[in-house]
Amino acid sequence: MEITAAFLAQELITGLTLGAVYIAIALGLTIVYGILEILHIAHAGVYVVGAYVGLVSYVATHSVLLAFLAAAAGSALVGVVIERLFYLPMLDKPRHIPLMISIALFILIEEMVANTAGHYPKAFQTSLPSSVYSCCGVLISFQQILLMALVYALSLAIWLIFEKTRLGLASKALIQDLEVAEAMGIETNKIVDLNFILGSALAGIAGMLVGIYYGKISPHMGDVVAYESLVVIVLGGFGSIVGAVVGGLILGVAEAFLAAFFSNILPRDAFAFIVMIVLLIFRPQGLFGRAE
Amino acid sequence: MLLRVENLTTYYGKIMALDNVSIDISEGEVVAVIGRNGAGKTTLLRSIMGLVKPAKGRILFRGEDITGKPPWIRAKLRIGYVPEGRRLFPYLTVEENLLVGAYTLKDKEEIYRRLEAVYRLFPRLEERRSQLARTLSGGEAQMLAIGRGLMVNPRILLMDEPSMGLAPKIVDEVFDTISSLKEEEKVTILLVEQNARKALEVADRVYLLDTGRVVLHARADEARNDLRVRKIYLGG
Ligand SMILES: Nc1ncnc2c1ncn2[C@@H]1O[C@H](COP(=O)(O)OP(=O)(O)O)[C@@H](O)[C@H]1O
Ligand SMILES: [Mg+2]
Repeated sequence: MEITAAFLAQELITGLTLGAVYIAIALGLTIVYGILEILHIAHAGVYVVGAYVGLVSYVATHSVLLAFLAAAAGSALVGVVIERLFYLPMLDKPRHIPLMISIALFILIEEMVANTAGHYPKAFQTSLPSSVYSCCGVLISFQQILLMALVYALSLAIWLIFEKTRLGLASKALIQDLEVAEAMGIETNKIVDLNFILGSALAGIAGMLVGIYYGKISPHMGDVVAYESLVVIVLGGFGSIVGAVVGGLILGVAEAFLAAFFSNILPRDAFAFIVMIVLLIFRPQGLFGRAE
Repeated sequence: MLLRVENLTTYYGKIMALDNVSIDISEGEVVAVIGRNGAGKTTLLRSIMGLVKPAKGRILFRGEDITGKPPWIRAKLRIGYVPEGRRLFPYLTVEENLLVGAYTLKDKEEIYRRLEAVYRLFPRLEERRSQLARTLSGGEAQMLAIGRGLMVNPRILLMDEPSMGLAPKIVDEVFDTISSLKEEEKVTILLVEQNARKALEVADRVYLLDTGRVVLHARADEARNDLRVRKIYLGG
């Protein structure tokens, strides 16, 4: 194998694309984790729901835009229902109880999707161009560009929301001291709802994006995602937006290069955990988390 | 009557923290609630803020029954709160802490005016406006907690042991601030304190709490000679 600049650039593009997939999922997870500090494993189920709502809506309307909106809305609804029914009432219980509930919900959602839509993967073909552009020996597809543009734009938008708006200020205050935040006039239930709506809508968009990108969806598409998105937010620092973006990028790029150089030696999906464990030994709070 | 607490009884599980407590406060007054550690002072303020649900009794604010209303409604009614132990938002800046205090205000102009007023009262906070709250000294942190409570331009300010854990010189500063809030800004204050001596210097009236009960209600100048109050003097 000859290592050329073009080869490296090609792997970088693969890595950035993969990173965008990770970011799309982890961004929503870091928001909902941050607000209640519950390990929301069912987030990966919300992501699966988004993919299926997206496909059904696309088949019905033949509009990618409408399908994205429907995926976001469907996932937001499922997310906020989970929060209201299962998480808010469990806030004063020990942490492992909502965690167990979350795992159960994840399995339940996957089984319900499988029972209604079938266990086998479904093709997700859209009218989006499948063109591939070539420049100096490096290939990039329209779908890769779409994926990256959408994810990086969404990341910026989310960052702006949390840094520049009242919702952002209220969310941060609530995370740091829920009781005092309430006493200062913040309607905390409403703020938690909004965070779950936002985070879950992102999961829905991510589900559909991944479906389009790989051309298929399945009820179990959330399985590896559930672990890997966790790795991304641990890597970046729980609850940190910037951390989720940087964590997703590192994981995506590292995975792409590792696969390119040592594809036969290291299992790809386990690699994420090796990176996470090594990092946590040296920096337990993650890259952008705060040491408490 | 601005605030009236009627026959309030509050439990934590089986522990009765307040036992049939009634107090009231009129506009312009500074009223102190004193009592030793565990007497129920914090529970009284937390009940008024809606942070604990009383088992019995009512809380009336400007004649309206607010007993069952959530805490944020209290903030909307412009009840300012300076919690025990300051409870700043450690990873927000000084100015962001103040802006959270003004969360119920919608008018940008008004928020700006309140910010100016608080910075005028505590110039040190303006110098440190973009610092994280966790980097403040104890005295500065207490200034910020008071400033945050003042952001709503409160009809009444509830203060929970603002002198707790501060050096004697800083304690004097805090009580000077309370005096000037009373004399110059005409803020109505319900002040909870273990430091009875200092509290009686600024208060008009005083309630003495003992194991959840009001055992004395008097004018501040009279209370100074009460034997039970003098015991608290010695204790803290
Ligand atoms: N969160 C709580 N859970 C259980 N008991 C509590 C709690 N907070 C206070 N108490 C009890 O209630 C009583 C009154 O406490 P508190 O209102 O904090 O008194 P003070 O502020 O006068 O020191 C004490 O006996 C205390 O131990
Ligand atoms: Mg107390």
